[in-house]
Amino acid sequence: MKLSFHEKNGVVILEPRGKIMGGPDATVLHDKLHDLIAEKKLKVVIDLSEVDWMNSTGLGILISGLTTLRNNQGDLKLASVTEKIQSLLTITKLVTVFEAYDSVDEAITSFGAAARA
Amino acid sequence: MNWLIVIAVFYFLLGAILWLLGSVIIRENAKNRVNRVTGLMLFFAGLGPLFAAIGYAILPPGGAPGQTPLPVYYNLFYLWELFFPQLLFFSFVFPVEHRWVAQFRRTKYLIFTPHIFHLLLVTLMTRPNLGGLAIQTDSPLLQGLLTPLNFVLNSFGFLLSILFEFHLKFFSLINLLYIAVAIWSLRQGYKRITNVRLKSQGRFILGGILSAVGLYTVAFILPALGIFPLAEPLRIALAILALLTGSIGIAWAIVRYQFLDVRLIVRQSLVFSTSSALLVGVYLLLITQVSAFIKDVLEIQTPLIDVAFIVLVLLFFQPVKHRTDELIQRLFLRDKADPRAILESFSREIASLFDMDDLKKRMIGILTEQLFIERAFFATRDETSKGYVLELKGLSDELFSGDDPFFVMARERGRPVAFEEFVLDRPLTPATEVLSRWGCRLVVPIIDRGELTALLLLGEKVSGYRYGVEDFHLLATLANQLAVALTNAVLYREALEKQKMEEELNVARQIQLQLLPSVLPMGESYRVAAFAHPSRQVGGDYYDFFDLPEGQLGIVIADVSGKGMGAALLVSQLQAFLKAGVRSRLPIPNVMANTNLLVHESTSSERFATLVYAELDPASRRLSYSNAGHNHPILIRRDGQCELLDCGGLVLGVMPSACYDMNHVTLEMEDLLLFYTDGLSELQSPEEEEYGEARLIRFLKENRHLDPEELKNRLVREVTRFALGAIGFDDLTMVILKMCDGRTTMLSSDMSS
Repeated sequence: MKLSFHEKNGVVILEPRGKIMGGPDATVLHDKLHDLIAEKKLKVVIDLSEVDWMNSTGLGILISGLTTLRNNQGDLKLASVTEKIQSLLTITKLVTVFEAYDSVDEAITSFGAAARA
Repeated sequence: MNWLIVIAVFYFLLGAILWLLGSVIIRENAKNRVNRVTGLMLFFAGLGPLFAAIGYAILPPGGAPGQTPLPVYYNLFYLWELFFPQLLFFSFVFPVEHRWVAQFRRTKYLIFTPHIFHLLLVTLMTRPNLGGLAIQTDSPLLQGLLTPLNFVLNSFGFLLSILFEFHLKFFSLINLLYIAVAIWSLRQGYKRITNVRLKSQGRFILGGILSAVGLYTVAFILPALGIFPLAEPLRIALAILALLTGSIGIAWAIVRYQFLDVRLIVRQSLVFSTSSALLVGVYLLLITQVSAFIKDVLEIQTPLIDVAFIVLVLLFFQPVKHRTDELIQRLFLRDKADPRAILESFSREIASLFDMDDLKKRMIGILTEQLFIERAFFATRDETSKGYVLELKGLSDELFSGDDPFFVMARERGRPVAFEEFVLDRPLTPATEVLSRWGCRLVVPIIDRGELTALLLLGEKVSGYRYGVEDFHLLATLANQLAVALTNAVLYREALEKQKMEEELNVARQIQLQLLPSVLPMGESYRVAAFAHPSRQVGGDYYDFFDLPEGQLGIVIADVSGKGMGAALLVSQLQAFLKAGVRSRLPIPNVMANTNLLVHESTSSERFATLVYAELDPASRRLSYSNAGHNHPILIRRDGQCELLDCGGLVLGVMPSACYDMNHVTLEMEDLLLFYTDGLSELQSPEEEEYGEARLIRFLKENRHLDPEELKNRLVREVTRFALGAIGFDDLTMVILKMCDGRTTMLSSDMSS
């Protein structure tokens, strides 16, 4: 897995590519999420368009990122979820927990809407 | 006894002192270029006073120095002037070699050309009578022809003699030029020195050479130019004084600041000289005694016997001298260690040392006890920070950046390097600052496969000696051995860690296996088969059956996220939570919600579990279940219809407040229900194609008539074939439940047994 990121309108967009599996490269994503929380950057979007697959460890990282962000009054949203990941989220019923959007821009806008609301 | 002899003895002593200094400096470390160049320079300088001494000794009484009967002596006298190119050479390599010296590997010796030419000239042409070149003849005819030729020859001879005179007069100018360049070069080097100790050394040398040049200019160059004529003896005396101040300045600087203990060097040289003199004396005494004895007894007197005897004695002289040297060094100076013995004992010991700290301790022991080094420490690479930790005993370890020029240079050099070289003309770095305060003398890089894994840092020797060429060789060999040994130690530690991890995995596997039921439940109206194949890394798959009151059967299948010990422990907790809930006979949704809460509370945020819990009531054939984010169990009806059991809620352990639904299905005869984990559906072919839910449903439909045990075996064979034998990356777990009537069960059971 490779990870790049950028910031837009105060929202950090993480772009993992490849498979999010257990092992050393998954910790990169885990560490990044927790670094963001330490930096008080609490609006995070994970762009999953380039993620082929995710195992339970990868899912665990997303869940942990989500709960920690929410405990800090932040949020983590998913964007461009591929079909396979979508089915994984459906089976695990995590669709009820994660907010998922068709595009990164929509996900970013949703933060703005929440702030205005 | 006349005063000339006194002067001769004085000059002789001066020459001898210079030679002794030269030999002491070369002896200190013959492999060191500065030592060699300095030694040779002092040798040439010593030639001057020695020849002067000979000049005075062979001078006829009352004669002036110029009237020696031996022209050969005068010719050889000029040999000492090789001192000037040698001085220039010295200025190039001291205190640090100029960078371009390495570039002119051979051509740098061209600086000797003018002097060699000068030597040849004065040796071959002892003030030639060049006017005598003209050809004499009696024939008037030839005379007529020869007159113009003779004119040319005479003119040429005249020109040559002028050149020769000019050369003799002004060769001093070349020497002066050499001195000027040498001073300039030394000043350049002096400016670059940052080390205080070396700065004072350079000051001595510059001072010595400046005074020498001043004296030499007054003695030779000014008189040669006709400015300040002086008497011949005074000039020679001035020249020798010049030599003395220059050479002694250099020698003193080197002895005082480069050698650590001058007294020790002098003492050693004294012992060697005395022992050599004693040996020679004994030999001479022997020769005369034996020769006298032969003369007396055999009454023959021939020089042949003397010669033969001297030859014989000389043959023995060298080995005896060598032995004496060794003996003195071992007994008196205690500095020489036997490198071979040290290497042997070290190789033997490191073969049995696998612990890094033991190795280091042993190495330091050998260095301090057998090489007589006062202090030795290691700096080892810190893998996390890519820096180096200096392990000073009793002090707190200091961490230095791996980019420190000190470590970069040590890696580049790759061999033992005198610490001086790191600080001579370089600014102090954090590492060299600490090391110079600590008194580091020698740096031994330990390099393994191009990586600087450690550094051995040595302090002064107990004897106060500098590290000699043998020490460098020995330490280079030790460093190589140590590099191998340290690598082995690292590999050993990794193997131990791996073994520990394997053991941990074994324990985890044991836990997982013990959690699985050892016997399958048997009921009149259902049959059950189960399969579990734990992966090599030990995942968190789990299935279980609970005997419930009134013949009811509880079935659970779960998958805990992550692998290894952590997953195994969560499985065992999950089992406990679930059992507690089931035993209390709470409704299934409450059991699920309680378990969810307990998992959430007892694990970190990234751990979770998927789980299906189902209860079968054989009497009503009703199956109640709740699915917490697990792969949907597949129900295949007798007629091939397929249903998925997806009702339930979120995976366990994520949201403490999650709620769970329950659903019921009524199972008919021959209905087939498969519970499985993602290890089965996500099994991949070599082309990375997943087996998938659809393929699984098709297989179950096609084989729904089989009894559970047989179906399980076929399914395992099928997916193994699909993955081409490559199962084992993930846990693979399944539970098959098939409804039947009691008689068929008994029958099939009979048939299978």
